[in-house]
Amino acid sequence: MKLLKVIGLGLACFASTAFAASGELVINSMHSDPTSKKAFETILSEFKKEHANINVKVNTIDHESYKVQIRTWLPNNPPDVATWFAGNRAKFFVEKNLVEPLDDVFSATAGQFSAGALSAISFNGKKYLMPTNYYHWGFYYRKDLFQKAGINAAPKTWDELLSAAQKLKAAGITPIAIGTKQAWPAAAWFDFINMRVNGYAFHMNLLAGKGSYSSPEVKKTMATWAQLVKVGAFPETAAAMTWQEASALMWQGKAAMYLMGNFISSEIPSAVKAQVEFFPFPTIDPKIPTAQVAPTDVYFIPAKAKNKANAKLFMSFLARADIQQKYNEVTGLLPVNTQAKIDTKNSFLKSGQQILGQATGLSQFFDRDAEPEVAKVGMDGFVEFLRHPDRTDAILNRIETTRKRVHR
Amino acid sequence: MAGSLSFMQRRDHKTAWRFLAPSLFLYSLYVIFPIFFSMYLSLTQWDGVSSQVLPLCIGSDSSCFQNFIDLWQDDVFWMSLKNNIAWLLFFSLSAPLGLALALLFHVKARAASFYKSLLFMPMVFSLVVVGTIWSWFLQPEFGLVEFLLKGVGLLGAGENFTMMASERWATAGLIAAAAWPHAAYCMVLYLAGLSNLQKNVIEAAEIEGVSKWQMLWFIILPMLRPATIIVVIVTMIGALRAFDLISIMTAGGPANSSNVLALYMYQQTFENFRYGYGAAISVVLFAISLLLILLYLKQTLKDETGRS
Repeated sequence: MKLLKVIGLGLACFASTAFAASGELVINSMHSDPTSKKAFETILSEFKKEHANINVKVNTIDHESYKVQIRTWLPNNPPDVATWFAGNRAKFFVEKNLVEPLDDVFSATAGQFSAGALSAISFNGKKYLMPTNYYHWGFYYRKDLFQKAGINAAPKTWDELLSAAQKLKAAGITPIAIGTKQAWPAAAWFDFINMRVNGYAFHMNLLAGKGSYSSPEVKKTMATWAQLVKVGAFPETAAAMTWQEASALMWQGKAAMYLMGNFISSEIPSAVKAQVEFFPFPTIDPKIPTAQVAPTDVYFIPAKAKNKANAKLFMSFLARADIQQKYNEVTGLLPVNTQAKIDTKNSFLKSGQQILGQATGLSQFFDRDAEPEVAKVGMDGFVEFLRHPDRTDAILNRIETTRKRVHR
Repeated sequence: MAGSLSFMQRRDHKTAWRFLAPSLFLYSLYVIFPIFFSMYLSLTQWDGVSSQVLPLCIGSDSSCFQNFIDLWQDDVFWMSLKNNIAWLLFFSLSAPLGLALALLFHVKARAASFYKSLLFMPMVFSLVVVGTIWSWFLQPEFGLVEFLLKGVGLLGAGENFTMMASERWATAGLIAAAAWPHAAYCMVLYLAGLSNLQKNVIEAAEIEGVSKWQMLWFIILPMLRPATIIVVIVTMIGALRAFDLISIMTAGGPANSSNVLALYMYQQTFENFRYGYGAAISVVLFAISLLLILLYLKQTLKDETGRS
């Protein structure tokens, strides 16, 4: 299959150079999982209906290969449209002048995208990326287990979360599920606590490489997190489990809460579906305005694309509320265009739209906001921290050393 | 005869080179060239995107060997190196295990071939499959090992089997998983060696009335020497290039405690996009492999020539 894709990609590149004038549009997509592929095909057929004269070619490449290969084809032989992530991951390419600005495209949909969403796709005052969907993060929890442990309401503050953890622990239930075999789930905790303790601006500045990880502010973040670790809120087997395996703990009734992205809501087994509900990450310091984590998927036009006119047509198409609505009816994610409607019967989506709409800032997730190297050292450090909160200083110093080297 | 080859000899040499040319060409293209190219890359800070790749010391005041200086100060590098040494030490236990299995099943019986096939099976699996199976075995909460330990009462009801979540023991779990197919491989190499033993020597020894241990130690093992050389080399290489299994089972975690050089090189190069740094790790790994294998081959050749 992969070989076929590679050959397809090769042919597509060849074809695009050969017949540039005849209304081609080559799209490289990393959305290879069945759901997002189907979502993309849905809107693509719509686009073909509207623009019958454009010959659209799509190369779908699996996610991990795409991330490596984009570095080869983007500077040399790019498609006309490509998928990517918002935030710093895109900034890297924008700074190398590999991405076409889209300000003219956005002028048609002015006012339909929130300021939070636009900040994630703008660099140096220009808009470069077309956001199609994002999703929210927060706590998924078992109502029945909360009741069993004598907790009456979902925690709204950090103290309530701590006391809930203690009560669950006393009732013999693992308070919070987490699987850190792949390190990223641990980073969500850092993102949220840091944004709640030090604020959105501090967090984004830190992850952009401009702040110090060994600063008193970050130490305060870790000290807050350590309170929960020391209660024994996380399973000691976390490092041997993937995030899916850890979610099984919750479905089996062994764990009560899980800090996760909304993609988990489609995996809840029907047997426990009625018991699983959502609450947003609690407030820690009431003086700090609430920001959220909302990884955003985007499309962009490479600077060296051959059919830019067609690509811009496609971008204006993607910006439309009706298209974003159709797209996300299939993906189950939230449309970024605020005029697109969502399925109001889905309580998770409703809470998501609500918290993202009210958020004063949206971060993309630790490993998208920080440079890859800093992200790797950071996430490995957080996994270590979950087992050894006493090593905080050494861990922070290690991240800081890497940050200094990367951003020297 | 020094210095003067006969006409026939010279023609033979030419023919030999002609036959060698295609494979020499491919070998240079895919093996020799990448080795030297990696060495070159290790002096740069290539990010995989920029079209110009110059060594660090050209046009700037940093050292050409900055990547190696960074490596020296990199805790994860030392952790990986330490784990590679653990792999070299403990992974090589699969060689005597393979020998024991080979001795056990080197009999002509239908049952023996059945067991041999069973034992050889993991060798046929891809290491990715082996890794997946073993991560299921060693899984806390849902794994087979936890289930068995709970069954015999070694683990209490509320306890979990935490080997793969432990910084100290994760590498042990990985080596155990890797030894499973590798012992089978060693067994096959030794079985081949055993079927080539000189029967008259063994018969003579039997007539002389040597004990079983003397037979093994003084007769069979020396005659298995060619097989042993191969086994030691593939085991050393196997331990040094351990990668797929670790990537599948722990991805080097928890917190890099089970990382090894090959995986760390991959992570730095293709996940962090530090091609130069990754190349520097590969150069170190290459130097270690080369050194170990040269030392071993030199020792072996010395023994061989000393004997004949």
